[in-house]
Formats: sequence, C-alpha cells, structure tokens
Amino acid sequence: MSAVSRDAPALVEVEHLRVWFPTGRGPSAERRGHIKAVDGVSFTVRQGETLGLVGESGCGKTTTARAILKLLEPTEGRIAFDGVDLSTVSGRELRLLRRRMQPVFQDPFASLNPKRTVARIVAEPLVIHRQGTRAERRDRVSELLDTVGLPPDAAGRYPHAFSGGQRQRIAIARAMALRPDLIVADEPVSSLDVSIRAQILNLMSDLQQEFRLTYVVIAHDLALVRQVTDRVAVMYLGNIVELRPTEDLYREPLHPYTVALLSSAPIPDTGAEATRRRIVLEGDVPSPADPPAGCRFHTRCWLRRKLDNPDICSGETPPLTPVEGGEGAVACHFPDEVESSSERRETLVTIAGRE
Amino acid sequence: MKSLSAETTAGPAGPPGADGHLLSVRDLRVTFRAKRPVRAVNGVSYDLAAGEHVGLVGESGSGKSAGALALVRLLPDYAELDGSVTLAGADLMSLSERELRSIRGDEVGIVYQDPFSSLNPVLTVGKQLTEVVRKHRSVGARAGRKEAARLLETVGVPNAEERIADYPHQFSGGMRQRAVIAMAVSPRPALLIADEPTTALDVTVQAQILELLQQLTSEHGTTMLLITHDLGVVAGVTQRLMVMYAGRIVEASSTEDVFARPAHPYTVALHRSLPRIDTRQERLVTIEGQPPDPSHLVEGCPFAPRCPSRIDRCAVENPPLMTLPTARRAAAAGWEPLAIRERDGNPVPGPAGPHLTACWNPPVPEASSTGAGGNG
Amino acid sequence: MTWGRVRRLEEAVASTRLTTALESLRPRTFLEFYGLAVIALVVGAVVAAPLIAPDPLAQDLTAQLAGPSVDHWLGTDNLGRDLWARILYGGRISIVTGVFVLLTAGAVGIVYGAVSGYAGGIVDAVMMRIVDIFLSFPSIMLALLISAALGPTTRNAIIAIAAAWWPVYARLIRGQVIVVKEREFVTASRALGAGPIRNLFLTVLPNSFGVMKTIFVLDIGYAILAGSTLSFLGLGVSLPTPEWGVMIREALQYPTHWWFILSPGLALMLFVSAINFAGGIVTRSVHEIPIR
Repeated sequence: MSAVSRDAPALVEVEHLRVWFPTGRGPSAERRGHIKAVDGVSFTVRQGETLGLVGESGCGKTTTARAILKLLEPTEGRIAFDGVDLSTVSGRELRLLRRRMQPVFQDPFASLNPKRTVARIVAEPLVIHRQGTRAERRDRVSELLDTVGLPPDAAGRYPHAFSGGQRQRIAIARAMALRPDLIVADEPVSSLDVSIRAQILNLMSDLQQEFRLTYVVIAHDLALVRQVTDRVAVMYLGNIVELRPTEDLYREPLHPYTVALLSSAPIPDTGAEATRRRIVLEGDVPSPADPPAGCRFHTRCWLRRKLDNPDICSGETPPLTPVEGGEGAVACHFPDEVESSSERRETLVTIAGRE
Repeated sequence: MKSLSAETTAGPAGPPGADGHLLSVRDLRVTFRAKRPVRAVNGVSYDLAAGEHVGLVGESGSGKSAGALALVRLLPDYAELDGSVTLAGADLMSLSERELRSIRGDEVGIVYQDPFSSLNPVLTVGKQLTEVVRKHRSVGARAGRKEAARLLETVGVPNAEERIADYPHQFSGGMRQRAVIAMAVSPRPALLIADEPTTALDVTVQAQILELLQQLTSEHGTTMLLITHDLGVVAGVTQRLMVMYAGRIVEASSTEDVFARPAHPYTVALHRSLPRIDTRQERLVTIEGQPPDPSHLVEGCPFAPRCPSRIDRCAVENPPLMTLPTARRAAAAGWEPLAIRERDGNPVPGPAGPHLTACWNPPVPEASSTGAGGNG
Repeated sequence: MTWGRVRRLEEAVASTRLTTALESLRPRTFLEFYGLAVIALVVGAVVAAPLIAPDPLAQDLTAQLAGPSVDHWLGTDNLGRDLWARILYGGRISIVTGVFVLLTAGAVGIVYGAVSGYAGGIVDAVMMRIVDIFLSFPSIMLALLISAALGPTTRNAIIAIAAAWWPVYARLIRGQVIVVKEREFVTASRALGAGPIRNLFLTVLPNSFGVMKTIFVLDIGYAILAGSTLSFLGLGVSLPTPEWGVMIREALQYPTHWWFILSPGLALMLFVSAINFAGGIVTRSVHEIPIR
C-alpha cells in the first residue's frame, strides 16, 4: 500500500498500554492473578499508513486492537485518537469518535447479525448516527454495495445466502458507511478461501487509496503482512519486540523472534523450501498469566543459547530501543549478534527478496 | 453403494494392488444426500506407493477432506460412496464395518485439523494413548502405560512421564496435536492421512509439527497423504501433488513440477494470488468469482466461469485428466474422449507418473523454465 | 467429535435443506400434523361457538344431568345446561387465559432477564437473587396465594399465574443473552456507537429466542392447565362462567354421570397434548435456522 512519510501526523498514539484480565476468584490475594494480555506497549499509527500487528496467538495483538477501538478499557496507559485521549470521552463525544474508527473482524460468519438483511446491516451505522432520510440511506447502501463489489440485489438478502468472501465485503461496506478515518482489521482474510483472499486484500488497498484510510491490520500470516503494510510491530507475550518499516523488517530483522517467525513461514516454492534454513523454536509460548522474567522470549531464544545463556536475558527486560542508523526500534539485548548470525543469513537467503 | 466399476479400473495402471501400490483409488465418488445432493467428490482416481509423501491441495468445498475420509468410510450416514479403494490388496469398500475398524488405526492413521476436538476431554492423555497401544498390541496395563509415555516422548512432549496424567485441556494446541500424532502413528500404520494438521496452529508450532510428521513418517516408511489448502505447507514436505477443484483432481505431478510448471489455470492463478513472504507484489493477481457450489454443478469445466484462458469447449465438456502433450493438442485437434483415451490410456496420478492436467487449454510455462513442454 | 472438516459439509447440506422459514414450519410427522389439526379444529370451533352451539347459560330444568342425545350432543349438567355449548364457550376462556398468561409472564420475564444478563456484574447478581426467591416457592402455591389475595376473576387468575411464572423466563433469557452478547456482531454494533438499549433490544434479544420459542409454545398448554387448576380450586374464574377447570370441579359432585366430567377433561387433555405434539415443529425450526 502507499508509502507514507515518517513525518506524517499521528492518528493514533498508544503509550504504555497495559490490559490485564483478572483470573480466578479466590478470597485469598495470591490465588487471584492476571492474564497480562498486553503489558506495556507503545506505538503510533500515522495518518494514511498501514500498520501491521503480527505475532502468535496470545501475543496480545487482538487485545491491543480492541483497546484502540475502545471496546475494552486499558488497565493502564493512554490511547489518543487524533489527539483526543480515549479515556476522557464518553456519551456523545465518544459516538462522534466511533464514527471515525471502524473494525473489520476475522470471521464474517460471526460478525454479521444473522437476523437482518444486508441492507439493514450496512445501514445500521447510518441509523445509529441518524444520518440522512430513509431514502438517502437506501441510496447510500446501494452505493456502498457497489463500492465493495456486490450486486445491488444483495441488499434484500440475509447473510447466510452469501459465501465467506462476499460476507467480508458486506462487513467492509458496513465499516465504510460512515466514511471513517481508521479501520482496524483483525485477520481480515484468514477465514476465507485462499482463492478469495487476494480479492479482499485488493479491495482494501483500493479503498485505502480512494478514501485515504489508515489501517491497523492484525495478522499471523507474515506473507500477507509484507504485502499490505508499511510498518510492522512484532508482538510476543504482550510486548512489542520489534517495530520497523516493513521492508527493513523482512530484509534485515533484528530480533531473534522475528528471525524465527520469518524462517517458520512456509513458502509456496519448492526451490526456496529446499534451500532455506528453518529455525524451529522449541516448546510453546509461555502463559501470559506468568510470563518469564527478563526478556520474555528468553526461554525459547535460539540466540541466547548460542551466546551461552547470558544472565542479562533472564535478568533484565530489554527496552524497545531505536535502531542505530535506521528507522524503527527493537527490544533485544543483542541486536548486533542477530545481525551477524549465520542463522539470520541463512534464513534471509530465501526471504530477503527475489527482486 | 459399494459397487466396483470395472471399466474404470482398467488401463495402463492395471488392476489396483497388482503393481505394488500401497493404495489404489478408482473413480471414487462421494455424494451427500440432501434435497439438492451435494456432490463432494466426483470421480477421483490415484495411486500411492509405499513411503511416498503426497499432497492433496484444494479449497474448502473442493472435496479433498471428504475424499480422504471416504477412503476408510469415515463419513456421516447420509454420504453415499461409490468407486473402489484398495489398500495393500484389500478392497476397503467391501469390508464390513467391523473389519474396517481394525483397518482404521492399524493400517491407516488419521490426524485431524483440530486437536481440541479429536481428543476426549474427560480422559487423561495417557489413558487415551494407553488405550490405543493396548488395542493394537497385547500388552498389560503397566506396559501399555510405559509405552504410552515413551510414545509421548518420541513426539517431543517434554516430561512425558508426568504429562501423561494430564487432561487434554492442560496441553497447549501444539502439544495436543503431538499427542494426536502419537496416537495415529503408534500402531505403525502403512498410511497416514493428515487432514489440515497445522491449520489450527501458530506458524512456529506449525513448523514443529511438520518437522515431526516428516521425521516419523520417514523413520517408519509410512506413506503420508497430506491434505491442505496451503500451498506453502506442501512445498517443503511432499514429493507429489494433486490439486483438487470441485470434487475432481485437476492437476497432478511431482511437487516441483506443479510449482515450477503449473499446467492448470487454477493452479497458476492460485499460486499467483498468494502473498509471498519473500517478495512484495505491486498488486495481487485475483481469481475472480467464487468457488463452485458442490450442490449446483453445471455442465462443462467447473473452473471455466473463473478461468482467464477458457475456450469454447470448456463451457460444454468437462475435460478429463490428460497427459500434457495430449492436453495441449486435444482441443485444437478436436479429439473426442475416445481418441483421447486411445492416446493416453486412462492416466491415473501415481508415483513417477506423467504430469497430468484436466484442461482443454493448459497454460504454457513461462520462458524462463524451458524444456517443460514434453516431459512425462 | 472427529468431524472437524466434515462439519462444514454438513452445514452446507443443512443450508440447502433450508429454503424458507415457512417450509421448516410445515408438519413432517403424523403427530405434528395431528397436533396442528386438533389445535386448528378446537380454535375454530371455539371462535365459531355462537354459530354451532346453543346458549351455554340457558337452563333446561326438564333435562338435568341428561346423557348424550340428539338435542344435547354431550349431554347436560346438573342445571340442564348444554355441555357442548359450555365446552366451547369455556374453551374461549381457557385459551385466552393461557395466551395472556404467556404474554404477560413472557414480557415481564424477558425484559427482566435480558436487562439482568446484559448489565452483568452486581446488577445481575441482585436481580437474579430476587428471581431465586420467587423460584424457591412452588409456582402453583404462589399463584394460589396471589389469586386468593386478589379475588377470583379471570384477570386476577392471569396475573396470579404470570406472577408465578415470569422468573422462569427471566432465567432462561438471561442465560441466552449472556452468550449472545459476546458474539462478534454485537461487538461490531457496539463499535458503531450503538447504545446499550439499542444493542440489547435490537441486536442481542432477537438472536436470543432460540430455545425460548419451543418452551414458550409448550407452555401455552401448561398455562391452560394452570388456569384450569386455579378454577378447579375455586380461585380462578367465578362460577356461572363456563371454564374447563370450573366444569371439572362442578362435575366432581356427580361422579356417576360420566359424560359430565368426561367432556371437559377430554377437551383439556386433547388440546394440551395437541400443543405438545405440534411443539416439535417449532423445535425443529429453531434448529434449522443457521446460527452462525
């Protein structure tokens, strides 16, 4: 999608965001714990860009997105939308803000009310915000259906009459109804058939150019993220471990977790699959209720093992530090060692580019 | 329901089982009874040799899962099966349910997509594993338990001795899939059907599971049929590929061939429409339209409505699987089905077989990959 | 269980079966057909009572406790009133009582339960404890108490039974609302800026009726029974008005005249069992409407 200058004004600012969910309801304090879904995350989303949030399940990417949309309350930290602190708004003000930011969900089978016609689903935002007369709304609905590539007669039918791809178009039409500035798309294509995904991704890209949208795209599919984003934040266990311009991240990843992620993504190419090096991480992601001390990735880190388990990894949490001589930031004690490692070199043989 | 269709088994491949194939499938059809019958699988034939890793690729509704589960008749009651399935000389379609039960598990192991629902939530993992072990080998309870722990360890579950007392919900998704794999491979089946085994898992875990499947099947010389929608998954794991669309195999060859010289417009388009981790395209190539509705199949090639290179014949006649040289000339030369069969015999996807495509106008490989035309 | 992939196919099959909501409402088994037919017949006869039956209050003292005959199809009661007429007119009251009990208890219970479930937290806890208190009485006892306090009229009988029944609906609907409010389309609606009232009543509630529908239909039968029970105990409809429960009560004093007690008893049994048989249709329609 479009390249956005690094001086573009911020549309969303997230500072030290924490979202903890209480677990257990024991009377004793020690039995009560917290799932630290998001644990101290800061980033900005610039006007007109597409920011990707990637990571494995449980890394906090969806929770972060929901906090941006004020669908859940942060435990700590500040989120500002176009300079307005979200925690200070409510009522009418909040409704006005909501018009400017819209979600698109993963599963269009779940995100559309099965008891309503497509016309009513797409018109719902207009009704809620009392936009236009009945006739005007009807015209707007046909216009929107046309924009997302659905036939006009779709309006009178119910969601179950449509395939996954078409339903996702309906969901996008609903999100576009109020001409928002920001769209937060949580795995927008992962529940769709492979042959349909490109249609939806291209549609989103067209809409961005036509309506100057800002996107936050959440995905676990790294190939997709490279295709659609300008910058990427890689998350692991509630933290951002690397936040870089997309091409920089894919060409020269600086966090060992990013390297491992890139090396695990399957490539639909037999030649590439035969020559590449795959770093298979051991074990599972630890529980966010009890994250490891120090660097959260240290229990599974290939670099730490290679460096003979330095104490700092398990002792000190690495802060997200700006990359020297480049854009973006990384949270690792040993980014230089990542850069010079054979693991990264061999992973990148196939990843860095075929240009 | 289980009639053997004699003609379709004839041809150069010979009667199934006679030429040492582990599995021979001929003209397999699966129809789900309903007011408008859902034709999930429409005449699928292929051979698998011992020790092969073969990928079966298709989207949801392509019939890839129904076709694979039909091999061991693991389909709901309202599914009608037709065709023949021969595993190591035994005709699976004519076996009784009781005989089949010992084939499932013993001869054919199955790994499902969702490790959450393929384990019984109220029994410990160890209990379920022990059960499988004792069903297939006559050992005592204690020995069975020990063997279960050993199995869990071989599939890479740490502290297997302790974890064996855990319930499935205490396992992570990846660990659960490992336990399911342990159960599937414990009787040393000749054939392992892996139905989207990594779709529900994270990428780093997916890499682990694929590696594990590779390692276990190679160790025991197990044949693996890997069913997936993800071209990336099969690229590194399989030697051969069969691509399914609308209940039929539309292309089959070695994995390398299918990737480097795809010979069906669907495969080409699918490949081009995928975002790739190693490059960024200006714009993704899309496949227009929707996958066909299996309860509403029309005349002609089911991919024709979405196909950029369709010709007149596509709309009226569904192309059979042909060798590439035949396919390139069939439409232009106006060959009728009989003439095609004379030239090709009745080609069946199998080990070291020629590149097959079901297309009247197969795409010509790009200039960079020369020498592709006449292979096979 | 092991049907991960097959499930999608099954859904495809189910959705091809589902063409229109009306079609799924068509009776499929003999019992369903029978139930619908009986309901239609009874309701039709009750509505057409003035055309097909004599005055239910007219006394014919020459024909007291007469058995079934050409003049009196079902015989007469102790005051010589025509039982056929009394059954039909009595059915009016019984059915109306049943329907109104359902509407009242349903409306109160659904709003109460929906608000409780949607609000959650402490509000929910308090509201549900109140429901628990109601539910800790046997419902017929509660209805008796209220009815005794208000006096025996049809309206009061409806109020009494509804008062005893609404907590059941409140509970049921609360459970559904709690599940549905977490579904994604509700979140989508929230993100659009929909307020809680709009969200609850236009988005959550219409998707929460699934199981309720069946229970509701079956309960019409039980409401009629409950109404008759109250009348039977002398706490429902006052005497001269024919009502099935009242008629049974009257007939009890004449156990030797079998037709007297048989007609209202049979009417009650026929109608309530017909509702139960036909209820299967609603159950099925609930299951066939795609939930995803």
